[in-house]
Amino acid sequence: MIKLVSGDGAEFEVEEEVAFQSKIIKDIVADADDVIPLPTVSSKVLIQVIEYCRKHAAVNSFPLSPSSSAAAAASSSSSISYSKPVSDPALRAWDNEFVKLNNSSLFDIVIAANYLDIEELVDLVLETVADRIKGKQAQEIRRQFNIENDFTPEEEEALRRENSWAFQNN
Amino acid sequence: METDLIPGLSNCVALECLLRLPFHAIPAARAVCKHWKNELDSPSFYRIRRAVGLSHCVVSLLLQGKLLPTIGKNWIARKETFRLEKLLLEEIEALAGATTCCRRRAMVIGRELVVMSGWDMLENRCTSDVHIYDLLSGAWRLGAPKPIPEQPYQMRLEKVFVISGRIQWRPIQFPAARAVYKCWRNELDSMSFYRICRAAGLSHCVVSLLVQGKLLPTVGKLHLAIYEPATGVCMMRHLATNHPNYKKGCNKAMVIGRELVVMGGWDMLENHRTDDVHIYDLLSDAWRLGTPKPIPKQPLIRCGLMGEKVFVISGRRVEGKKLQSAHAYNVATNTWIEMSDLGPDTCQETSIASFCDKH
Repeated sequence: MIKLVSGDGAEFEVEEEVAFQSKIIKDIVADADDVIPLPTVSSKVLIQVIEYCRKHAAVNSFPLSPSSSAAAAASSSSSISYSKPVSDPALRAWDNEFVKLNNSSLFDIVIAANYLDIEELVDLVLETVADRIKGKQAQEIRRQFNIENDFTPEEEEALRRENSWAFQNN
Repeated sequence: METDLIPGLSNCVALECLLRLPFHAIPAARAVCKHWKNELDSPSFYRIRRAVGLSHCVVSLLLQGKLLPTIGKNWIARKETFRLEKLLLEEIEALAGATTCCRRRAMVIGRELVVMSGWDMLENRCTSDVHIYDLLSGAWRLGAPKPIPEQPYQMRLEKVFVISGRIQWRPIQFPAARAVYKCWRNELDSMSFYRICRAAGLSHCVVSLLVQGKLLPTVGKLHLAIYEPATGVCMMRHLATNHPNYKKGCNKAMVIGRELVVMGGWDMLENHRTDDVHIYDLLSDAWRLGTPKPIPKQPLIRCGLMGEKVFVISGRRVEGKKLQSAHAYNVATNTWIEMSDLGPDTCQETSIASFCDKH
């Protein structure tokens, strides 16, 4: 078992294969002890990340004995497939439910996942955010992500003219 | 100080998110704020997309209106084949200078569409203009015109030029391409017509040209000319003689891996359109037949390469006058895949060019 300590001091005990979804934790455990402080991750986010890792560890059947050669092979193969789609339909459905969160919660998760280097989770969240951008007009995107419009009205009008899609067939 | 790309996210994570946008969502995203526009306009954005494998294959079709009310208007149809999500038609402003041109050759290079020469309908002559359209900003600009204007080998030359431009679009490429062309021409005086193939090898970009002799003594013989811009080597080889019989201008050819794929065409012996697919192995020098196109007797409109597959847009059935179908032919498995319908609104257009590229 590995003990994770969140930024607000809460301790979480998780199985190795769950914690090893994070490449950073795997590296730390390899050459240090089993209590890992994660000062930048809050308990709320850590609970969600552990939930994700637990689900995916169960499905992925991650190699339990991280011998150095196996670990090297695993990391090199996953770096080639940058965004590999989750193939199991049940797991994908679970993922889709998992990301039904508001933007700020999603951002907290992706920041934590990025920090912990959980590639599949980063991928999942960023895909979700990209899905929320696409198919929307600039004004909606700005509202959704709280982005300030710094174009002058003239610049905006020019951009609108440029981007007029005449026809969109769904 | 520049604002955050997405408030609440670090810029590098936010950029990773923008990298995952499909190409058709980028024009709207450019209009969100200046920081997004800067990122999305930067060439490195597209290099990164490509490098990490997030670029999608986009098949574009440049269409020109022939009937009212779209006469003289140019359209771009894009199909994001990676996800088969949407077909987008974008109206492009009338070509610069309000000249309506037909018989143009067009290519997508990076995020720009390059339209080479054509026929100026107002002045009724060949033009050697080069028009470049930025697919994201939607603006036309003029390129340097072709150095030799109005010459009889216009069509062939411009194809060579387009190919050389495809590899690296620089005016400086023109003399090189012309030299190549002359070299080819001297070697084969009787060359009559060209079919263009683009071979994208793994290591080197190779330009190939399928040449069929029309005059004696090379009548009916097929040659394949290969030009490697990286080394400057230009080679010509004779293909085995039991090749399909084709009439000028009807067939399309592509090089995929070590094989040359020739699509459709006109059977000169039986005088009808054929849907055959002929595949020539460049190493073993043998022709073999592929699976014919599933919907027969449609004129091929355009072909393009899409990874290992040949993307074919065909149609304009007489009664409907409509671009009818889009198919992809997978050479490795010798099968055809039907793509979703092109939509009813394309029927009034005549196509000018198609191109596949990753964006």
